[in-house]
Amino acid sequence: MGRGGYLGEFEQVVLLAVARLDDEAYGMRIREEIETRAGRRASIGAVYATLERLVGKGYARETDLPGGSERSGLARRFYAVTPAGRTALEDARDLQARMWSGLKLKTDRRKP
Amino acid sequence: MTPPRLPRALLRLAAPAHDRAVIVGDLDEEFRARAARSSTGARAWYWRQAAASVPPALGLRVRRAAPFGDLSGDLRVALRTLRRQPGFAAAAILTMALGAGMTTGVVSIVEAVLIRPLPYANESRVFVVYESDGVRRGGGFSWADYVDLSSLRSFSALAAFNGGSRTLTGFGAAERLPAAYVTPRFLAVLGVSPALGRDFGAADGVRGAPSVVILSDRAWRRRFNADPAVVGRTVTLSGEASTIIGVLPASFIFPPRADPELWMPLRPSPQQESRPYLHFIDVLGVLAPGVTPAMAADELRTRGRQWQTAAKWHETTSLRTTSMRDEMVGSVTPTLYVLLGASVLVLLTAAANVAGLVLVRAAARTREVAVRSALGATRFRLARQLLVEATCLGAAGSALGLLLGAWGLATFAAAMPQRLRAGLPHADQLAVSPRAAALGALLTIAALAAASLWPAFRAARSSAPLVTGARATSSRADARVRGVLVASQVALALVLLAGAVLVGRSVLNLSRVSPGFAIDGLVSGRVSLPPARYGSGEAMVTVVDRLLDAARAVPGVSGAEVINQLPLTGRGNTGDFAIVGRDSTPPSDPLIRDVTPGYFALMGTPLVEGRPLRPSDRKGSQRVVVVNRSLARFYFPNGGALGQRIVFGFFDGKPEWTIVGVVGDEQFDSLDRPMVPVVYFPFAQDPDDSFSLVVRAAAPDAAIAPLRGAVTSVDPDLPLYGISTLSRMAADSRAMFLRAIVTRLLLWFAIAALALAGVGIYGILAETIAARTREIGLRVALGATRAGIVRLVMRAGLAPAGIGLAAGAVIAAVASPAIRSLLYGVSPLDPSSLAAVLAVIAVVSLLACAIPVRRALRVPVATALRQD
Repeated sequence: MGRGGYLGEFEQVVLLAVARLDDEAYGMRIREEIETRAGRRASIGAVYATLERLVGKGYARETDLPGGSERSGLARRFYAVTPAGRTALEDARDLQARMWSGLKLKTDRRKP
Repeated sequence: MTPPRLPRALLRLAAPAHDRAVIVGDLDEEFRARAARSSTGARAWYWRQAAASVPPALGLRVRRAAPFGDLSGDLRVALRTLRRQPGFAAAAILTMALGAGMTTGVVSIVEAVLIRPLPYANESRVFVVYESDGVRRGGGFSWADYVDLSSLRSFSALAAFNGGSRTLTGFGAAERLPAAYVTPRFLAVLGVSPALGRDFGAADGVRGAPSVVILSDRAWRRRFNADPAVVGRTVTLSGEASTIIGVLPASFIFPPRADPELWMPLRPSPQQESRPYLHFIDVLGVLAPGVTPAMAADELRTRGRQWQTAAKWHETTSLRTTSMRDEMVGSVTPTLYVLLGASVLVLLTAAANVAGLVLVRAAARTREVAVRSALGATRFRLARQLLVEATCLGAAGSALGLLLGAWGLATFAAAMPQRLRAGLPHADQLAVSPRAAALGALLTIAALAAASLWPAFRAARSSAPLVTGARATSSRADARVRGVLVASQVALALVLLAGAVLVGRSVLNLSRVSPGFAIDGLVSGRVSLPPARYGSGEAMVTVVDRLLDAARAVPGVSGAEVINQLPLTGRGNTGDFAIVGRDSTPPSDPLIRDVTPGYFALMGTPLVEGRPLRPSDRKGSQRVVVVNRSLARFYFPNGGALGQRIVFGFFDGKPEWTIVGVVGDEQFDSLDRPMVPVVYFPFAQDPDDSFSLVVRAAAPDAAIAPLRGAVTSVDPDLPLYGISTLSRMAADSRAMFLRAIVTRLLLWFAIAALALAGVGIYGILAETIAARTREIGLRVALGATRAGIVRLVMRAGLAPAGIGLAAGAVIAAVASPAIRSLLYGVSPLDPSSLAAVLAVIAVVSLLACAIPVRRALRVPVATALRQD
C-alpha cells in the first residue's frame, strides 16, 4: 500500500478514468469517462474533490495548461497516474482477485 | 451561447481559488458542446451540475483552507491566521527575536573567542610556561631561566618573546608601531610560516647580526601597499636600518602581545644575559611527541622545586603551564559564560512568554479547532497546523533576532576598548557566525514548537465545545500551565535582575575606588627615544627637559611630568632590594618607577612624610628614592622609613639609595587589585628611553592635538603615541569594561524579562476575572467587601508571582558562584541587593494586578448575574 493508504471505491473509479484517458485526462473528460463507462452520475465538483485527495495521497499529479475560447479561456488541469498510483490500483485489483478466488456466493438461508 | 449566469456565479463562489478556473472551465466547455445539440437540455444540465458541485466544491474549499492538505496549504493558513491577529504575532515575534538575538550574538562571541581555532598548525600542542607564586603570575623569566628551561624533555622546542615598539621613519610621518621580539624558532614552535619571504634563522638571534624584521599582514598592507617586492627592502626602525625578510599570513594573530606589526629577533643584551634575576621574557613551547600536558606540568613542578633551593629570587617560584587558548582567554572566560547563561535565561523567558500567548490563543481557538476536528482533521494534522504556525513565528522571530544579534554584536565590538580587543583571539572580526545564527534559529523554533505542543495536544482532545456549544474559555489545566509559565518568568527575571544589580554595584564600587591620584584632567601619551640618537642617560634627561618645557607651553596645560610606566597600565618592572643594616629583607617584589620631580604634585598624590623629589636630585648628587605607603608599612611597620638606605641588585656597583619621602599609594595595576609597594627613582638619576608624558589640562581632549605638535617640535622623528585621558583608560580597563558591559546587558534583559512577566501576570488576572465575573457579581450581591474581592482576584496573580520569587531566589543563590569573579566589594548573596530585587519584582507584580483588580471592583452586579 502506498503512502496515501486506503484507496476508496470512487477514488479507484476516478484514478482508472485518468489512466484510461492518458494524455486527454482533464476534468471534463474524466467526468464523461466515468459517466459513459461506469454508467454513474458524477458532478464535476465531486470529481475534483476526489482528484484533490488522490493528488494529496501521491497517486496522481496535476498540471495546469491554458485553455481556448471553447472554455472562455479558462485553464485546463491535466492529471496523470503516478507510479504510486499505479501500484495502488494494482494492489486493489489483486486484493479483489484474491478475495474472489474460488468463492461462490450462496443465498442467505434464514430459519423460519 | 453562454452558460447560465446564476449557477455559474454560485459555483465560482463555492469553489476555492485554486480550482475555480478549471472547474468552471470544464463546465463551460461541456456546456458548449451540449448546447450545439440542444440549448435547453444544456441549460438544464448546467443547473444540475452546478447544484451537485457546490457541496463538494465547498468541501474542497474547507480542505484547501484547513490544515488537512499539503504543507504549503498549512503555511497559507498559518500566515492568514497570524495576519488576522497582528497583536499576537508581533508580540510573539518580538519576544522571540529578543531571545534569539541575544543568543545569536553571545554565541557568535563565544565561538570567535573560545572555539574558533587559532591559526597555528601546532595549536593543540603549544603551551605557555609561566612562574607563579601561588597567588598570581610572576613577571616572566630571565634569560638564564629560559636557557635552563630548554633542557626540559617535555617540550621538543621552546621559544621566548617579549614586546615593545619601534618608530618607523623615512616613510612620511614617523609612526610608532608595536613590535614583538622573539627567539628565532618562535614561529616554528607555533607552526606558522611567513606568507612571503623567510622565517628567522638561528643566525638572526645573534647579538650584532644585521637587523631584520618580519612584517604583520596589516603593516604590510597599511604601510607598504601590499607590495610583494617589499621583501629585501631596508627600513629605518628607531634609527636602526633593518631589512624586511618576510610578511606573516593575514590569518596570523598573537593576542598575548596584542597583535604586533613588527616582528624582530630577540637579542638579549649582555646585562640581560648575565643577570639571572632580570625577568623580561615570556616562554612558550611545543610538547614533544607522546607528552601529555599533565606530564609537562609534572616535569615543571619538579624543576620549580629545584629552582626554589637554587636561588634566593626563586624562593617562592613554582612553574606552571597552560594552553595557548587559556593564556589568551582565561581572564574573560567567566564573563563570557555569564553572558551565555544570561542569553539562555532570556531565551527561556521568551519561550515561556510565547507559550503563555499561544495558550491564551489556543483557548480562544478551541471552537475553531473543534470544527476542524469534526470535519475530519486528524490529531496529527491539527498538531501539524499549530506547529507550522509556530515555525512561521519562529522563522520571523529568528530572522529579526539575527538582525538584533548583528546590531548588538556591532555595538559590542565598537564599545570594546582597543586593548581588550587586541588581546582576544578573533575579537577584531566579530560578526554573526553562520553556526550561531543557525543555533539561534533552531533554539527559537524548537522553543516555539515546544510551546505549541501543549495546545496542539489539547486541541486534539477538544471536540466537546462543538457538542456542548460552550464558549471559548481556558480549562483549569490551561490555567495551571499558565501559572507555571508566569512563575518561571518571574523566577528568570529575578535571576537576571539580581545579576545586574550585583555586577552593577561592583561597577559602582570600582568607580569609587580611588586610583590614588586625581584622575580628572590628566592626559598621557607615550614617547620612545631611538637609541641611535639618545643613547646616553644625559641625552635622555636633556630631551625630557625640552619635551616638558614644550608640553607646559601648550595653552590650557597646567603641568607636565614624565613617568616610565603610567598608573593603571600594569605591574611592569619590579625588583627586590636589601635594606642596609638588616640581615635579611623579606621579598615583596616592589614596582620600580622613574619619575620627574613634579610628578607627585601633578598627580595629586599626597606626601605622607619627608620630601618629594626635587630638580636638584640629579646625576652626581645623593641617590634618593621616594617610596609609597604600602612599602613603608611592609618594611617599616613601626615607622622610620625616612633616611633608610636600600640596595638593588640590578644596578652596576650596587649603590645605596636613601629613602627621602613617603607618598600615598597609586594603583598601577587594575582597579580591582590591592595596592602594592612601589619605589620611585628620580628620572635624572635612573633615566629610561621609553616613558609616558603626563599632562594636566583644563580641557583634556582639546589638549591632545597641540600636545602631539609640541613633541614633534622638539624632534620631528618622535611620535607621541597611545594618547588617552586617564579617565578613559580607567573606564576602558578590563576590570571596568567587562563589568560595565555585563551590567548593561543583564539590566536590559532583566527589564525585558520583568516586562514579560508583568504582562503574563496581567493576562492571568484578566482571564480569571473574565471567567469569574458571574461569581464576583454574586459575591458582591451577597455582601462581599471590596477587600474580599481584591483578595479573591489578587490571589490568582500573586500566587504564581510568589512561587516565582521563591524559585528565583533559590536559583540565584545556587547560580551565584558563576558571577563571583565579576563581583567587587559585594557578596554574591548580598542581602540588601537581593532585597531590592525582590521589592522591585513584587512592585511590578502588584502593578500588573492593579488594572484587572480595578476592573473586577467595577463589575456591575446586575450585568454579572445576567451573563449567559
